[in-house]
Amino acid sequence: MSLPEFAVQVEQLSYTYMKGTPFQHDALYDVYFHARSGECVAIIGHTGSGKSTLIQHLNGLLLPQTGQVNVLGYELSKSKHLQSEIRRQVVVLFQQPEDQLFEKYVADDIAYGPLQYGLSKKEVIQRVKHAMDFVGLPFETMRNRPIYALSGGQKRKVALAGLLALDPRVLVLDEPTAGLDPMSRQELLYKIKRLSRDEGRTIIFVTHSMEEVALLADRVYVLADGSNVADGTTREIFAKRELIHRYRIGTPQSVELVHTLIANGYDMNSSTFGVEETVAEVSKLLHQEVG
Amino acid sequence: MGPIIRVERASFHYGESEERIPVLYDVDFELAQGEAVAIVGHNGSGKSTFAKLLNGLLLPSSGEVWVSGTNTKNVQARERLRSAVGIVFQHPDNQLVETIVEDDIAFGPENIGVPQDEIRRRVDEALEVVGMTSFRDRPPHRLSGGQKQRIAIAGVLAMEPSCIVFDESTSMLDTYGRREVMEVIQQLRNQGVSIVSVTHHMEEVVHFDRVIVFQEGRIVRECTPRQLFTNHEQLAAYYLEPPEMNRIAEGVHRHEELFRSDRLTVAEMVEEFEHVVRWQQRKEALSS
Amino acid sequence: MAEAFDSARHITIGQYMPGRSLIHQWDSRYKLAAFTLYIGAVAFCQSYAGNIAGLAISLFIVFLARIPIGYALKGLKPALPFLLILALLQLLFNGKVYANGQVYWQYGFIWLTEGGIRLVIVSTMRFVEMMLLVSVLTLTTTTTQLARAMHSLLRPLEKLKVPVHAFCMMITIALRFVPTFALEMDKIRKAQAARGASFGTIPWWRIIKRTQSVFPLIIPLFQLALQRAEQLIAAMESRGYRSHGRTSFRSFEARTADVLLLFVAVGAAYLLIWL
Repeated sequence: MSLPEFAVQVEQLSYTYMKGTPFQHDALYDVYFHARSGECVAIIGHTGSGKSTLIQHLNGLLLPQTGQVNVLGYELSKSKHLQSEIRRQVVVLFQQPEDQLFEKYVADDIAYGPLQYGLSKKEVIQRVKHAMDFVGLPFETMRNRPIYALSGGQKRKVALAGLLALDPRVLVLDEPTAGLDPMSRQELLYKIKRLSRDEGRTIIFVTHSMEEVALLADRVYVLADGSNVADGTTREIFAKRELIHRYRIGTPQSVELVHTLIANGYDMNSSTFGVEETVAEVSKLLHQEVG
Repeated sequence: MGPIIRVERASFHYGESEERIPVLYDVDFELAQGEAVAIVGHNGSGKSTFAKLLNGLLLPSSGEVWVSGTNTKNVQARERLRSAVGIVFQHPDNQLVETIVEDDIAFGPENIGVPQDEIRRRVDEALEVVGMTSFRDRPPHRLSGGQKQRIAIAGVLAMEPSCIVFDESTSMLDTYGRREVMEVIQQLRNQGVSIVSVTHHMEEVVHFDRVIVFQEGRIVRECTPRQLFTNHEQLAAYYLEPPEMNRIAEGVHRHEELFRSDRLTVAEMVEEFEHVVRWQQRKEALSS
Repeated sequence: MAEAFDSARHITIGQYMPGRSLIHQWDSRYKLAAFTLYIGAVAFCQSYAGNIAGLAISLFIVFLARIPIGYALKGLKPALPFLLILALLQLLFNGKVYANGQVYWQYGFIWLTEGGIRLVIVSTMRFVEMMLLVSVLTLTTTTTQLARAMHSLLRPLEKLKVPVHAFCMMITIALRFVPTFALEMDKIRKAQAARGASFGTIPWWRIIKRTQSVFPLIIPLFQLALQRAEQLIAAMESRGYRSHGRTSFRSFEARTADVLLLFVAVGAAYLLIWL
């Protein structure tokens, strides 16, 4: 089966929570979003911008009240038919995923998903082994570890492995590194990068960390108050100083440095980001200003 | 005036005899009034356990902890201790017990028998300091993480402490929440409240007076943030990373020796940049 | 906050809806006493006439509290299956108790009596009334007010060494976390659904499978609850928590209207029992 050009296509999506109750409020208004197969797309925005609501539409947890959501060629509608199949191919890793683990031993929890889909025991073991080795929890030594004895970072790996064991085409990650210590964070980001570059899976991730966006994303969507504000390549978005300030998005410090220098009158490439690039640009500028 | 907190050769272990799990070994520490200290270290290095020793929530297995001259083992002085040193914990939800923001902030003063109108004054003031006055009537579950933490801070402030300990209080927050909390901490510092902050966000650490590094239950380093971050090999040994600005400064220093490699913040980088440029220009002007 | 509120949608207990209605402004001590008394009367009301009056009064109270009637009734939705099963069981198996009254049909264990039918209808009505009343109570009274009212009313028991404050603190905390747990349950449900857990798609007769399908939800919730308890204890202790010697942030001041309403409630309760 060949991959469609677009893994995800969302058009004119609107959603209101607690509709019909006195507590109702709008979460999404006329939102669009596209991710090509194999791309890595980031969604950023302030709290309350609708990011979480949007991603819940991507695997059918929420069905669009108005608008279209098309995932891997399937049109998500009110019908419950496809939901099961969609959820195997489009997985969502929610925030604090370690809160959802319920089995006693590592391998059992990871095997839960594949077992639900009726795969043979042999196949399930294969999948679990592959997933565990990928995330950095060696199958042989970790399979019978009790989950309660694991650290936060390790538990998160178990949660991710549980999703990878389903062999999904699309991975949606909601703030995957939130709450992790620096070492675990780096490790996880590196794994996500591998999923995108080496295994060609489509990655969609929500984050508040601009460093992560800089590291992983091909393209970025910016949301605010439930609507699209901007989208483009990572470079394009970081270069939009005014936008970033207006929506208080926050940039990696490297970008902040570049923008400040530009604001002070120096001539720099405004789409610079990341440590190496910034070092190169600043050094270049130093020589220019002098020579 | 003496230190407001003094920790003397404190050790701590969970459990008894054979099943003992040691966490801290012979820790010495002093906090002066008005100081802001950051505590860093890898996961499991004992930092959180140490934080809980500071207000007597945990008592040292051996050694002593003194708060404004009172030993934390003194049961009678429990109230005074809890008032003097407050702790803001990591999970925003699991600190708020009441169903309305105001009432939760009042919880602390109620516990220690503060008279009613005084409680009202403290609650109002605490709400002001953390910038949440308009949220006074809200239920906690409708607040964002950063807002909940600010209420938790207000709840501690209402006890009128001389020192506040932040035990990884920003770990579960997004960038915005973290910023909110950091702003409040800065405000508190300006008001003279002593701060101890356990954190693993290096960008937060750069603004503190002193940094203490924990490793495997012991204090292995005590210095200024600048001293800590400029020794990169040592940092790696502590499983820590320098903040991004510092790495950039290092990089630029390698291209241009004049540029000091120990810069930590964007402001410092910009200042250093302009300084070097001016210096170079003057040098050029002189030699021509 | 853009979190899924799906479960919290239907939970009318524990949710406070701010307002300025008569019921909202009623002094909580009197309100609590009145509601308790009246609900007690409802529990004892066996007659059709009584329950029709009771239902009417309950709906009137919902109206007085200015709560949209649709919202109040929505709170009944989750309870519907239980109601039906209970009603059916009562109808078929409890009928024997009224064997000396009019019997419509009998076969083995199953007695269909007039008394049995009355019991079922009355029970259902009572249940509906009680749910409406409890919902109105919590919708118009903040849990803080409720806890303080309860504390105030039970205070005299402290003389008998009953741990009144600790009990009330327990209730407050439980109520405070109801919406939080609802949100967390949603999060966990969505996380498990995203890995293939089949919620709501297992036919009702596959009991074992249905029971099993609950574990991925219950266990994480329990773990969260335990973790929560531990952390709350540390936070409460750090703020000097103790049961005795506490002062109060808020105080009560009853007005004549409050006391009058109490008498009205007593009257209504009496009416129900009499009918």
